[in-house]
Amino acid sequence: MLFGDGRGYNRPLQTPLLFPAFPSVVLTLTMRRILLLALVILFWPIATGRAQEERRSSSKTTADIEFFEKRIRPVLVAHCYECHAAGADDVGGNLRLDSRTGWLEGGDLGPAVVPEKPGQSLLIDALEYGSLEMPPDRKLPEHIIADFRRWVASGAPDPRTQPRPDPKPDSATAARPLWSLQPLASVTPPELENPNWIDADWPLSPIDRFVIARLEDAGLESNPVADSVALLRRLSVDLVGLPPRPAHLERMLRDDSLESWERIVDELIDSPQFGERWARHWLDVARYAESAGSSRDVLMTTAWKYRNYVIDAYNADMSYAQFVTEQIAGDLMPADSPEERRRQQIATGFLAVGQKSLNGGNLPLDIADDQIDVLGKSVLGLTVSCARCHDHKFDPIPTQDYYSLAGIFLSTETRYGGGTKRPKNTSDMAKEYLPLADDQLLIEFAKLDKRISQAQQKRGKSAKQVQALKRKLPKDWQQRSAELNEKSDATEETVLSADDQSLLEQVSKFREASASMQQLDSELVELREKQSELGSLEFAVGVRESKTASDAKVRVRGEKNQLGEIAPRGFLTCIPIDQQQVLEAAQLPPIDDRQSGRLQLAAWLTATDNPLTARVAVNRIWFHLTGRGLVPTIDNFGVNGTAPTHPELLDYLAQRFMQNDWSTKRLVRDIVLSRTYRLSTDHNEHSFQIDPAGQLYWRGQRRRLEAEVLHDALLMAGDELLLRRPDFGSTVAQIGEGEVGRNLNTKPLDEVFPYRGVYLPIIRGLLPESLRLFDYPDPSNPRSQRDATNVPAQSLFFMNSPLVIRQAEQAASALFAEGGDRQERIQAAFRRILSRPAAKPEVQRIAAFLDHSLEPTAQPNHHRLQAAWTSVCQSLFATAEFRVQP
Amino acid sequence: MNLQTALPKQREPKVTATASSGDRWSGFNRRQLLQAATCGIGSLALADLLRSAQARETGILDPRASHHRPRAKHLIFCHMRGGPSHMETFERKPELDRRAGQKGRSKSRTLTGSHWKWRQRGESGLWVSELLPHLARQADELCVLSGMHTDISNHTPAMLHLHTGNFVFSRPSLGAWILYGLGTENQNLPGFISLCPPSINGGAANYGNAFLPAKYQGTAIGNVKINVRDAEIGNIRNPRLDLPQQRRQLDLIQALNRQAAQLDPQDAHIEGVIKSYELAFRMQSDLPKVMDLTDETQATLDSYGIGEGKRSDSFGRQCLLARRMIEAGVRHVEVCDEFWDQHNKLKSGHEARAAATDQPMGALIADLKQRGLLDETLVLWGGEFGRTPDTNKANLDGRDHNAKGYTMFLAGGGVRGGFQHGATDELGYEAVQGRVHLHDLHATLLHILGLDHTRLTYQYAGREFRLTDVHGRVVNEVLS
Repeated sequence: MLFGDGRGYNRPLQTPLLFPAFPSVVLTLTMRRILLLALVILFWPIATGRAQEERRSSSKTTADIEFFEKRIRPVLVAHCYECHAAGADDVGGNLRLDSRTGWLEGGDLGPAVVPEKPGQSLLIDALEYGSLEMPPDRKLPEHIIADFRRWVASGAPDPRTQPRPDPKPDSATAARPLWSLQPLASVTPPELENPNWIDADWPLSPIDRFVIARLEDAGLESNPVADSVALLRRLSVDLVGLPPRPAHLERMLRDDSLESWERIVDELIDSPQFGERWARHWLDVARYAESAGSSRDVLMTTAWKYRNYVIDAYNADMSYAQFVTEQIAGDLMPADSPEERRRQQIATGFLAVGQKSLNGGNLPLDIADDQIDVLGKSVLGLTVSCARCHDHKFDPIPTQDYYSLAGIFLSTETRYGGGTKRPKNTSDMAKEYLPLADDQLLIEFAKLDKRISQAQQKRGKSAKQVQALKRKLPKDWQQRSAELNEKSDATEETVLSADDQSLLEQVSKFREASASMQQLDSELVELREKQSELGSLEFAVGVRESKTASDAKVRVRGEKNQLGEIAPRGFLTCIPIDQQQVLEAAQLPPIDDRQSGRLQLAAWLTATDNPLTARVAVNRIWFHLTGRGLVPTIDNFGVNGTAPTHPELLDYLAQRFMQNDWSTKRLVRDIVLSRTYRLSTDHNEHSFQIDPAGQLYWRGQRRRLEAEVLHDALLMAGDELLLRRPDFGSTVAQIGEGEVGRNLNTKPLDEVFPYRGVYLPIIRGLLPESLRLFDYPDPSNPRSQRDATNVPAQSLFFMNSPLVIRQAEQAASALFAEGGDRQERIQAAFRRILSRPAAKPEVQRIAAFLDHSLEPTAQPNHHRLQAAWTSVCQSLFATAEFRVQP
Repeated sequence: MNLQTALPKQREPKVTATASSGDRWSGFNRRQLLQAATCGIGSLALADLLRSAQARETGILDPRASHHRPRAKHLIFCHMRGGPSHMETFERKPELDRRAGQKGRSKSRTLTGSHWKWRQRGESGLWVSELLPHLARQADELCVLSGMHTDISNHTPAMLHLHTGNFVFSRPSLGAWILYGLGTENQNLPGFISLCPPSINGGAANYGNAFLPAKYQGTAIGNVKINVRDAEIGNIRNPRLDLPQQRRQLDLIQALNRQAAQLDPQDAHIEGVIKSYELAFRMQSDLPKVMDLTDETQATLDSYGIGEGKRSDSFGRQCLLARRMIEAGVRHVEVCDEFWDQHNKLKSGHEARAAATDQPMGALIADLKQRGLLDETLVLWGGEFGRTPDTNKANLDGRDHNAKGYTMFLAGGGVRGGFQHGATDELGYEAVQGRVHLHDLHATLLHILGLDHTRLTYQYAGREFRLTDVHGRVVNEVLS
């Protein structure tokens, strides 16, 4: 129970390398302590001697390995790996040089290196162009060959004890069980006895105990806790995506006790801005947008309802299991009220907001592919869609499994608008979008629709008939028939000629037909009135069941016409849980031809023994709070992802998450109240040398503000930001139906948008500048982790954009309105824009700048003052600091 | 010592990547990576460190070493949207002329002959139709690809395919891949510029970065509906301050930044921002300077067909701008014409397109050559597909979409001039000889620029992506 690898984990490959001198790493802390104590007592003198010796030899090893890393490895990579490493098309002479084992075992010609014996090493012989000539294109320079000789002579130290994974199936890697598919381990936080860690004012959380245990193992020094002003900015940005409220800043400056901190945390978590911030993280991975993108960028004017759904779900702290279920199968869930039904239908927008190729491509299969892709990356952290054309190259996902899932989505009807003809009325909308209404109303509506279309058909026929009859009549028929009628009325026994007789017959036929056409017209009017009396239907994007449900056939090599075997609908076979049991537990029938299987899919995803769902979810939350995932590849828990740095912590958090009813808010709270979250970002040379990337959380990670946070911070400092939700839904709804580049009414896009960045319109082909310039992710590809690039276009935005200048002007006006002298105003400007007081040298700089700007007038007019302060405010916006979270 | 060579194979375009100033933003730089590698932690996912370093790198687009010796350093793509007819431009079809008026491949369609006369041009004797007299004069520079074929014959997906190698999913554009692979030579200008692109037909995706970092996205100037003369570049001018005033403000910004940098010398983000402001400040004056044609001689303007009221004015300006940008070190420029999509009235339609583009194109090639730039610049001409040899129009004046066979041409850096590679069948329906698929074209363009299309990869969502996906063959036959 206490052995780290007793949980069935495949430990990260590199662990033994990390601590070559400490095999005890696989023991838990307690176990290790007991052992250590016993050893210390028994072998005290020997142990100290051994330790010194180990220290010496390890420092020697370090120097050797450094030599290898600097002089040998790069040469191997540059000149040898092409043919002698994993991934080479054809490994030359079966010799691999990408691991110690590789050259030690050697290839067809035997070992390539004999440690300490350059003269007997084939590798040296080949480099010297002896019996072999390597690299084949040209001999390497003499000094490099000398390095190799020296390296072999010194025993050929090589830390690459594990071969690089061979990126081909059937390799050793594929055979090894994937860590992320193993069941969650039940773990308890390690006990720490070192008094240095214990702080009476701020008890360590279980999270900290996991983290500190790793720090101790690695010999890292943990940073102190950051100063409270910086911390408040970090916390505020993390929880609500906004710079701190002035009231919080004041409170923090007065009282930075645990209680005060906790109160602020709770206030932020309970504020409606929490959902706006956390929804955005999910919307990234849900590849949310409001247009089809790609070939015909048709707007989805109701997609924003899904965005609001996500925000509401985070604010309500909806259980993540329910959140996932609603997004996949909300339309199939029982609902207690029409409101709940509406919400659950909107939730399925998750499956509908992806990019569509409306002109060309293979639409139904591509939509299913997009759905499998987003589901895989967001919920499971697997790149399932790689298996569309062939078995997954790295992960244990056969094509058969892909089409098992595809069958579910192909039995589902996706409604996303996307009509290239702009829908004009309710009936048109009903053809493109998902109607949101209770079934009875929909049935009534559909019944009337059917009757209307029948009546329309009849009227069409009747109109043709009338036309045809009219054509047969002579031009003067009205006059003649009137005369004839008169005649026959006047004299009772008039004998009409055959000609006249037939004319009258024709006329009467024509009149009858006309009357019935009029009858149909009024019927149509009546039906339309009835339909409008039902009320207007509301629409969204989302899914519903297809008329028929069936299994899909495998498409061989992904070709739509190359049909292979039938893949019965189901789930991924690589996840070792009993699908039957999952369905029984959820009281769901097996998938059959009456249902797509989405409910069953959701039950399988959110089963507590599904090892991926909770792990992926907590890792993502951890990542958004610390800047680094426990599994650094946030959306990829597959073979090509990276194993967790803290597997026990990951499983602890996942278990706790599920125990707390999958509550995001409670997990966020747990993490931000830990000491680990509060560490300063300061540099520590000792720890930096060991762990420069801060993978083991010895320090906080400075992070770039996301585009939306930057947008909001800018508008907030300019007093322009409205914290309420736009009541028009989205600018896209204001624009209305249409397509980018084809007479789209883009005027609403140019208007001032005073709402939070999360509400900005996301038209795939027309992203707002403030998002596009600042690493907003391509909304067609699901992704949790944003880039942080630095390009002149961003600088130009801060220097010249009308948006920034307007905020600077407004901020300057507000500073004047607040009153105070110049010193006070400078301080106020720093608090307003950078959420901190100004330091003395900064005050001096600003003052000097103001003096210079206002010269030579001693009594500058208001206009010049305003201009100078606008420049000051804009300069603060433009600082590097404004764009980061400390 | 060059640690970059220790990068995983697929990352090689980063050979001399931005590490010069280090990237402490994501927590480490080259030296630290090396230490990570030697001191233990490192092996714990060194590859991952590198990967995230590259994905999150903050540096500017410094030029980078190519995979092999490049034949050209710049690419100009003259995009003839809509699909010019190969039978009216560079592929002479006497058999089609002979059988004009007969039934085409289906009963409802009739073969229609070329609407222009043909002549052999230059020393090479390349056949060029009289539709393009100016380009004909450059015949000895042209490397005509007459075996082109692609997968789809709708404009938009075909255009996305042409620009991104994929028409179903969102993928980085050719230009973004090139910037990712090579960086750019002049930091004061964007590295990849698309002049007057359309907002339909895939719009921004045609110069987008998709999952590549945003710094590789193309900069659009103007749009297809306006004359490039009237194009505005976003945020390039300050509406409030003159240049000295702005410089003073920038000095304040930089002073504040440097103060912060002193407090935390480990923070490369600040370094990056400081550098980026200086570049931006220079870009403010350099980009408008490049865009300003007043320092060109009247003779040059005339040669490009630039002049008020001339049909070639806008495209002529685009071509001249392309030359100026290349000269200033921009890596890739795309210029864009209106629609060559004449299902009807092909004769007058193609004539109008030629009137707009032929002279500027001819002048561009001549001008590049005269300035010694043609050797290092690759010019690509063509549309997203070609046109059919037959029509369903009674007056035989029209042609429809044809993805199975069409013509593009290359000129300049590293390609054989006065050379025609490949051909369609005797009537022009489909490529039968020297077939070049779009993926092959992409592979070849990258090859000429010094990049190996199989090695120019980017890790996204657990796998390596490339412009050519799993396809593409370098068309060695066209290399000089």
